[in-house]
Amino acid sequence: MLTRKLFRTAWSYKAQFISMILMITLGMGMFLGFNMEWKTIEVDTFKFFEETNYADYRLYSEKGFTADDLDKIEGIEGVDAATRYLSVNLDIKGEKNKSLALDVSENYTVSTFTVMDGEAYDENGDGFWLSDKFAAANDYKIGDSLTLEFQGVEISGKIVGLIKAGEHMICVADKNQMMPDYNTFGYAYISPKKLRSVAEEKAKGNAREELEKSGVPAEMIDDSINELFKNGDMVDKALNQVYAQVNLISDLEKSDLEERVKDALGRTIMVSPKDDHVVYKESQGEAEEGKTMGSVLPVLFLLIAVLTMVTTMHRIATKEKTQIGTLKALGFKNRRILRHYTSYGLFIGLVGTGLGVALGYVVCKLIMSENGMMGTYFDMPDWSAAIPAFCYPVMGGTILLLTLISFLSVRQQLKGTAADALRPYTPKKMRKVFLERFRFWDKMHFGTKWNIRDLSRHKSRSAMTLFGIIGCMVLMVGGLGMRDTMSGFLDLLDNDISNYTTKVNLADNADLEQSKALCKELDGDWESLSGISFEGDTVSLDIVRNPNNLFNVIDEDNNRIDLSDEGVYLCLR
Amino acid sequence: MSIVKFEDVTRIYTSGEHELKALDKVSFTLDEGKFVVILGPSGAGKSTLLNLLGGLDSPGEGTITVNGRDISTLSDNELADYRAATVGFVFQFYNLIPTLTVYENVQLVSQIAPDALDAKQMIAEVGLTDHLHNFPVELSGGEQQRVSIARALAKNPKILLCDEPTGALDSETGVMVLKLLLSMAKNYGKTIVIVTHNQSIAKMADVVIRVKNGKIRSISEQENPMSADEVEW
Repeated sequence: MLTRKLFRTAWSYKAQFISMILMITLGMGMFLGFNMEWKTIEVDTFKFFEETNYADYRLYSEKGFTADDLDKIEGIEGVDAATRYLSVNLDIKGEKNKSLALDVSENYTVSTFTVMDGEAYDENGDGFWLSDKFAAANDYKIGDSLTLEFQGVEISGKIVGLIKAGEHMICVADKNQMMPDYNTFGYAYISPKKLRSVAEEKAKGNAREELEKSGVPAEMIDDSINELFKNGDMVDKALNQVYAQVNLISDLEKSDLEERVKDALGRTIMVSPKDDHVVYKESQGEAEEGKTMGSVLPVLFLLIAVLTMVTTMHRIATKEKTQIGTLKALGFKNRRILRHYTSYGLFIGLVGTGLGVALGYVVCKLIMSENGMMGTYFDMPDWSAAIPAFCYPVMGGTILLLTLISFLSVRQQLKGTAADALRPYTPKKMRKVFLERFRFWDKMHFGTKWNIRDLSRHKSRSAMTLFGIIGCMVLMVGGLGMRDTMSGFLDLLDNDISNYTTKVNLADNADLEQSKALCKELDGDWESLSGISFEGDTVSLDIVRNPNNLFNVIDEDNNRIDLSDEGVYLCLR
Repeated sequence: MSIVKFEDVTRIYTSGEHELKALDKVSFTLDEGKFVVILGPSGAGKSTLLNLLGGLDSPGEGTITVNGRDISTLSDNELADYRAATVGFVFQFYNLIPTLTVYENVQLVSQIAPDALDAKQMIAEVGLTDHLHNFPVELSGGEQQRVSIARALAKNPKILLCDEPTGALDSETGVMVLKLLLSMAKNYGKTIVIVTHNQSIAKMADVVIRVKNGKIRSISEQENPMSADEVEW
């Protein structure tokens, strides 16, 4: 009977009940949605990284790594797996403004990929395993031909598989690209055998050029080349230069690994942990950003929802006072009445939290799904919806808290005898407010005095309303401010830091004079990146010449720094 | 045979530093099956008296014995059991649960009263069978008070306590409600105590207790009480 009463009472107070349920739903939905977002990023990216053997460290050498170097690195205690690796951005022949990162994992133990469609990876394969997103964006299908241009050599083959790779989970051409654009940039893998044949072709071409320059008669060139490349040493040598990167899996600390690599190879090698790799760094950054978002704004939202519950439940309990008294007069015991009215809070808590979980799931999916906001940023096969463990006690705690709010609101009405409970609600005794001590009180408008007295009489309700409004304003200013901050940041990045439209990457062995001439012709600025050893650490040295201010650095206050020719500028972090 | 016995009952209400003596050493006895009217002006203490008799409140001093049991020292839970089993209330403003139907309002007491009577039968006896599934708001004042009477009697209490039961009704409806109340109390052999300031109702009572300033001014028994139809309002 009392259960029926619960539902009918809920219906009779539908505005209050719906607003309370809505607030809890929104509060819980936002809280869960934002927290599920970062947790899902962590879970899904970790799973994908595990599946594709994402490298913990990347070693870079301008001279390249030999097979012998790799053996030595694999032999380092604490290194679980290592591979020589190539990742180079290449243009697609016959396509305007379309390029691919071409990757090769020599022994395919590190930095592998997941085949979504087509042939499995084959170390002797002749085709391309192409990013499925790039294929979809550019209407490439399995069986289509693809030709890339690599240092004057064409790499041709058929697309044999469509893939997703952990190394390119955030597929950007370089650190300056903010968002992936699969219409213009994607990635592909080829087998080491295919790379070897490309390297051989290129090496033979270079040898032919050298022989021609040396004046070797044309009829002898082919024989000479065949002789030179008979045992494969020349190709190995060429490959050593091509493999400028070693990717490895290891739990060692960076400094420890650096030492061990230096000992093993006898030279300083730039060691870059995964934290510096754009994919890992950005995905972790997104998760961290989500954590911050999830721990501030939604918590505030939830708090406002709880405050709404406190004031509304108190008002309902006050309005129900006569009924509470009647039930008591009829002979219902206090605990039965308490149980009944407490179930209002439980009901609101359960329904609100239940709907909040559904809303949280929707919010999470809006952000974290292949077609969601993050779907344009992350490229991974599985999109789940993971709830952080601490959210379960928060959900349970919220339901308990709402139940407790109902309990306390009703208990207040049950205080005293049944005769007290039967009496209508009597407002608190009015006392003169503090301001009435001053003369200006008498000069105040009647309505103003009335309002001040009302505020003073309902101190806790006024304080809660004030807090609720402050919270809502914080949410609004925070939300809009975040958008403005982001657009300000993008302005800073696009106009003050990277003030250029096109970037030309030069090969390591590009001719210096030709490079300078090109820079002059394009009226550009130039920068050169190189790994150096600095106080025991390997750091990136960026040499910049920017008379046109196309590439700039800024100080703590976002002011552009005019680089002088003296000294070194260190990264603030 | 007496069913109610008040002995030197005092009830003082305190509000801050102020004290109000609502009842001052009140003593009387009531016999079973009688129709008793407690009469007095506003603030005389008659509602306090009814509250104490109904177990809605406890006295500061004195003892109240109902049906041979001292209720003045009962705990909250014991008082709830007493209210559930021994007394039925009819309030001035009916105090029906607005979210329960007529049937449910009457049926509700079966959850707490040990000897509850059939709800549908009680509703039929107050002539509201046609309104079984109506909500209180769909009924007139007189009909709501009849539901309230059915609810009070459905508990099968020893005593029916009525606080100004016709106070919110027009005279015609008031007479009808009183007639119903008296006939049902008689049919079921209940002691009925009505608190009112309406002198006319007193003419119908077997016993009239006059209260003023927290004290009993007089207790009079009427040999030939008037019927509801004879009373001039």
